[in-house]
Amino acid sequence: MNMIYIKLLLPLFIFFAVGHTMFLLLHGKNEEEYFLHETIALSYGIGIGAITLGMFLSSWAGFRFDFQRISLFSLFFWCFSCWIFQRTSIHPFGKILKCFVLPFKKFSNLPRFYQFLIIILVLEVFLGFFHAIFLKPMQFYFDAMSIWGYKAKVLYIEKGIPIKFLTKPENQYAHMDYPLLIPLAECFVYMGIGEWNDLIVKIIFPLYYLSFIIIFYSYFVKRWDVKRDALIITTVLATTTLFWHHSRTGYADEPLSFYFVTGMIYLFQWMEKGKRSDLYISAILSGCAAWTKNEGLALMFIAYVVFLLFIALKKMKSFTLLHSLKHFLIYVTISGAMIAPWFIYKSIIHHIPNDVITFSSLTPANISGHLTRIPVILSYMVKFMLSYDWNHILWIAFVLFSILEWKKIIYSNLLFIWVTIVLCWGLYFSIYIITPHDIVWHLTTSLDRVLLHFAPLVVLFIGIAWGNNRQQIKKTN
Amino acid sequence: MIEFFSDKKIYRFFFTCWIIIAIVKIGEEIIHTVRKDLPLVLMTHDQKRQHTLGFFYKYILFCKKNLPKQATIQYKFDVKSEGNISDGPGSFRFIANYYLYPIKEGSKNIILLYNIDSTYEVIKKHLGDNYLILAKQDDKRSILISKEYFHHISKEKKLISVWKSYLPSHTLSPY
Repeated sequence: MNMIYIKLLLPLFIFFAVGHTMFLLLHGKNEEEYFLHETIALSYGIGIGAITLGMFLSSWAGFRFDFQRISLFSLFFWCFSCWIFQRTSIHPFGKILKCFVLPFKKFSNLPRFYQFLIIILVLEVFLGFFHAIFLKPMQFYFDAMSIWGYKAKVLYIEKGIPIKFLTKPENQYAHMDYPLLIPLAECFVYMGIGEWNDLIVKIIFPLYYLSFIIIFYSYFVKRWDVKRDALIITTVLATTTLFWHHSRTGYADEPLSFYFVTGMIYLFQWMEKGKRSDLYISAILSGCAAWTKNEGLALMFIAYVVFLLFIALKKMKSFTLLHSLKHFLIYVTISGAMIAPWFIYKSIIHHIPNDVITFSSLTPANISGHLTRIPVILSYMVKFMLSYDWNHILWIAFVLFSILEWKKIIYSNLLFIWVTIVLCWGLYFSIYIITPHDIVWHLTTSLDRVLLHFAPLVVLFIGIAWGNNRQQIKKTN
Repeated sequence: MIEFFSDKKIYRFFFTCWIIIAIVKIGEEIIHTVRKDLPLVLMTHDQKRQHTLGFFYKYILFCKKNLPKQATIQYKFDVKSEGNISDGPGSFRFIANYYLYPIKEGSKNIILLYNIDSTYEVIKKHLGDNYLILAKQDDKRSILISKEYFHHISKEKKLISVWKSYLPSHTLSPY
């Protein structure tokens, strides 16, 4: 059993290595602009996206999955890119070790409040890992078992993507048109440990949770340069019930939330600083969101809308309109290229149907016929958002701060985060209107996961509003 | 009150409330884990699966042990409701029958009948060339399930592939 935990390290390291290679290719030699822990967290997410996309393309080309080949190929390119781009840090292990050991050394010197927040964070992360990889296998969570885990097991057994499996009508309950990032990532872990294990494979989910927390923290440290405040807002994110609950279930919603929200974070960062690598990273992360779940595709389009709004309002004075449009095209090309192969494969070549949203559900007759659902959806959503179990305080704070800070929202980049949240909410609201399922059943089984997709953006919004307010107070004093 | 809002102390109020609630929730989570989930730590991986998949998992193990290796297995799923749906508030009892039958003619045939939420004893019988495995019900428990969920299951034939996927053997790949 213990050998499995050791074997597990290799596939996880390959995820990091591939992600880091891509990061280096995007960013070149200026890695200093990103924190090391941020780079590791980003590399993990990007690496999973890249490996799974590569596995899908190779299977499409007729190759069977081969863990050894993928690993050797990835490690070779990782070493090569480290050598090309970072001659001084070809051995990043020392740095990585330092990055994780130093905080513990410094811990005793920190003020009590810092220590307290760090303990909360560590406790949440520990509980996440403990639940996910020691306590509950996938069978405890229905979708994790019957959709994601099921696909992963078949892909692992077949060492490829059998098209019969995706097109078989009796499998349609498992949303066969959903992209394959999670099943392929789980399949890759199975190949790494050499067996099918529905408990240990869940480690990828708390790792997304941890990476998310790290990226969030890094963003605020860079923004404010005040670690205490960054720690406070990161603790808020880490203790959001929606967020930690799904870090251990094995559902694809936490990874989707990770890709979408971190993608938006880097997009906002680009809007503020204009650093090109932020734009590339954001585009890749948004593409990964679309490659995780169908909802991710819609969320990717929301990112496009926000981008266009940014151009329309000409918030970045140093850019001309042509410049901005060029950046937009780059963004669309990179993110679109990540989802295009899957879209061509499923819709154009194999006609795998979407079992929820079809053309018939988008007809005016269907939409107008379902308008009576609006009060039901609204009341259910409000009840859910105001329940103690799902962090009512977060949504109340969002509404309250939106009202109190409306002037600052309109005249600052906070507007784009606010618009993103409202668009996400509107998107899911309209999906609930057109869904062919029974509306109460659909709301009961999915609302928490749907809100998770953009709940971290609400925390981001509150954090930035708070930071702006503090800066203003400092200036007045 | 107005002063409170205008002074932006509301942010401090928010974070204080949040941290208090977070501590309470972490406490609740730890208590829940210790009370309900900790026994899982002592279970083996197979016992955990059995704990959640229940009877069907035992049944699959039984098939694997008792059937000839070359037997081809396929699943058929059927759900029947029993009694009046209006018996309870949006809930009713249902019985699920699982059949295993051959893909090719002449292969071994297995049939299983069982109620999803009850415990059973598996009895193996021979019917000519076919195997008949009956699941004998030993209690009368019924499960509460919403009307919508019932229709969802029966319409989508959801459970077949899921459980097929959780066959312990890797050799029974259906594709």
